[in-house]
Amino acid sequence: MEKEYLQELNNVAELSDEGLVKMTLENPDAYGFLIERYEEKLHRYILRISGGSREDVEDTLQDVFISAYKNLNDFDQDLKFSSWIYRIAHNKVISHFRKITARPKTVTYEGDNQLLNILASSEDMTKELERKHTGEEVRLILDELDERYREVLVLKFLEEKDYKEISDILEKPMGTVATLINRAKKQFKEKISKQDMKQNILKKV
Amino acid sequence: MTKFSENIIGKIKNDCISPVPKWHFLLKNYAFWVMLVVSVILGSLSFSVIVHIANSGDIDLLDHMHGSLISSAVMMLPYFWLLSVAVFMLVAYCNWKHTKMGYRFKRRWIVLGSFLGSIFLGSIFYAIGMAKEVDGLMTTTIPIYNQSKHDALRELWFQPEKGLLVGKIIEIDEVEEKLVLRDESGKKWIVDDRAVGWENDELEKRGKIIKVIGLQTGEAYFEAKEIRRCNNCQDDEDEDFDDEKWGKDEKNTHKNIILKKEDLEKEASEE
Repeated sequence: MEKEYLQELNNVAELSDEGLVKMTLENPDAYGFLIERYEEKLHRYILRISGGSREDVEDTLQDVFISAYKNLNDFDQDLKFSSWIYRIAHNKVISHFRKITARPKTVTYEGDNQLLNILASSEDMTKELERKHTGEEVRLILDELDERYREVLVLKFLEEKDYKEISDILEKPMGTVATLINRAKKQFKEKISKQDMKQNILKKV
Repeated sequence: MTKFSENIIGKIKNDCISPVPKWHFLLKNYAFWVMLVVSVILGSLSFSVIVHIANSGDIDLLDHMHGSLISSAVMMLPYFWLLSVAVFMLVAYCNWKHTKMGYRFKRRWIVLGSFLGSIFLGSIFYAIGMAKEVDGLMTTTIPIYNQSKHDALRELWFQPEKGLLVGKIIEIDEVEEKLVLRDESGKKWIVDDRAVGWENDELEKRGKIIKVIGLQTGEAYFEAKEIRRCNNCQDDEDEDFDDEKWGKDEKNTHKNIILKKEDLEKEASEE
């Protein structure tokens, strides 16, 4: 009996996101599997784009899952479930955090130098640059970017979403997404260069 | 299950939260599509009325009115319908943006699509005569529309110094080929129409309102080069203008017209 139950659980766990959505509409317990799949990813994403406190992020994350559950019947099968739930998270962050603060606080998350590495290699930036900047510096530079630029960089290089997914999440045309990414990279590099100049001056002094 | 997911499931169950029914979303989505289609149709109808107005004959006046081209062009623009096209295009754009696939296209493509759609559908509406129907319906049902149309017409056509005159035919001298017109202010004009090809024989009747293009040759004299039907003012024509009755009292003769002319000249000099 227990073996059959475990087998059933295993089968459910192997279902696709879309399959789990269908199952959740019949049995709310199946929603737990979807939550488990996205809990960490969305937590990290919300933290990255909002820069809120851990409590705020958790509250927002809870709101995201409750809202997604309420709107499950609106899930568009043309989209990936991940794009759909990331979109909900994006909208919740806008309505939750941007009401509280005009400008997010310092973003504190790990793996920021990953972004620097990707940006550097994608545009043949020198390895030297990678060595010069710590994760903390990248965090500060990201903080200085316009919010829309920061978010596309996070989605593209940290969440590893493709253009179509970013377009579905941000509800912007793909051409606009491409433009935003290019501008974001440009602004990011400009900030990095300024940072380098400051450091050089400080060293000379 | 993680503690977090257990909490969420627990909250869902405790608060009896359930997914919003599918029909709710379908209804919302269809509502946007219906409003989109309706606004495109209304925008197209507005466009077709613009074409109708442009084709009703006044646009070529621009050639006639040398020196005041821009002001004349501005005067002729059908502002109500242009505004109407713009408003319905904006409504169509907003509705499109709210459909599920609305965000996938750039604003410029949506606006361009909406504009081209209005031109295409509007041309069809114009071709099947709906523009005239709509214009007529608006004229009969909305007094302010009717009034503004007449005001615009008067403003454009009542410029005798620029060679434009509109008025009702109150007398016809077939021998001397002259007409007596009465404009809206009640002033009478003697119009020499010997050099004119009439747009339509039906027009050459007492009681008809006509538009005259020509040259002002005196205080109350006008030399016509072209006479047109006043498309938008035939409703004003005096239905009771009884040709027979007029004939009984005074013959429509050269002599009578000359006598009237003398009266008119007298009136003009007195003024």
